[in-house]
Amino acid sequence: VVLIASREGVEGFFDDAGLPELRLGGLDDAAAESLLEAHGRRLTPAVREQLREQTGGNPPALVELPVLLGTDELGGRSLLPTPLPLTGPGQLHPWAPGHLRELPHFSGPPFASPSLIVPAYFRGDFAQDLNPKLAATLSAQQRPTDFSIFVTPSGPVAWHSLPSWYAVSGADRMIDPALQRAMAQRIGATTGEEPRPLPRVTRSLTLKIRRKEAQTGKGSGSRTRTEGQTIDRQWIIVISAYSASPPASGRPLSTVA
Amino acid sequence: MPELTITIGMATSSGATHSAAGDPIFGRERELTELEELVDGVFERGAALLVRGEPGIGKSTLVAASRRAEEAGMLVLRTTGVQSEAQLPFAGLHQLVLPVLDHADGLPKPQRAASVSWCS
Repeated sequence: VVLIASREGVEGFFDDAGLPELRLGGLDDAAAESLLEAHGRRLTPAVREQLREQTGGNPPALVELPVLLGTDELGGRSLLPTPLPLTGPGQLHPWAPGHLRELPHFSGPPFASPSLIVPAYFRGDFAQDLNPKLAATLSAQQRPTDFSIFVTPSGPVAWHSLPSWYAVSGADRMIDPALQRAMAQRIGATTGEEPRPLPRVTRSLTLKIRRKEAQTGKGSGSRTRTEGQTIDRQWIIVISAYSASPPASGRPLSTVA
Repeated sequence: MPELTITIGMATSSGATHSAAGDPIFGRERELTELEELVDGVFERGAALLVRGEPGIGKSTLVAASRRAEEAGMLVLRTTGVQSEAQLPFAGLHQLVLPVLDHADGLPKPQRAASVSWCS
């Protein structure tokens, strides 16, 4: 059985495949009401219907847009804005503005400036498998992130033309080490591995990976390097920032890429 | 970018109304039934289905609900299109078969040679 999910309006490989199609539309009123109630969004029937019509019954839009509306709008005492915020093409994103808090000295459109995840949403959005206490600790230790990286179209992959190294954390509880190894293999990286959580790239680990590459002669550096070529850009990927165990040093966890 | 799921094996009906993450799915009973029927008939016939819809409408959630097939002992392979890999030959195929590449030795020689060539 082959199941394919494909976005409407985007030219794709399966467009002319002649496959039977299941076209998903928006939620009807009963389903929209159940969804909103499950997320604690209690709206009057009239407002709910207006919201459903304007969002086309899109589930994340139904759940997130009430966060942006005022008390009068939610209570049906004033009309909803038209068009609704963030309902333009390509603007809807699972991490709605209500889940992010922008730093006060920046201003601009949503996702365009350094932001933090609102603590109330941190565990649900980012650390679902951690216990609440540890998730709260991680939330308090957040560093501002430019969330535009999640909504900006990406360009050609860098690792296709640049030498790559990958440090795998064998104790990572957020991203399965097996998946990390698969990604490392996928990018043809010279790979180093540590059995413990990796809060940050260390000089010793960097040297360990580079030494391994020099010994095997099969690393990405030698793969892509041609005679006379100077490698002026290098990168190391470390995806190991969050572990179920606090770092032994007690220092904040961080991602380094 | 499309998401592709291939299910091999046979499932039993469980009336799935929850996403793979355990969250309830609202208003998709008819669509879930259609997917269940496809999976339940896997030993009698092959099948393919293209789920289409606007961003956020629930396509991936619906397809991921087929995880119940894994619970029934089926082999489920998944791949997701990545925009930045669009120009890489066989990137999606590599992602799809990576979990079973260890079995390439069991393939007939021409297919084995082909799989080694595009996976290396």
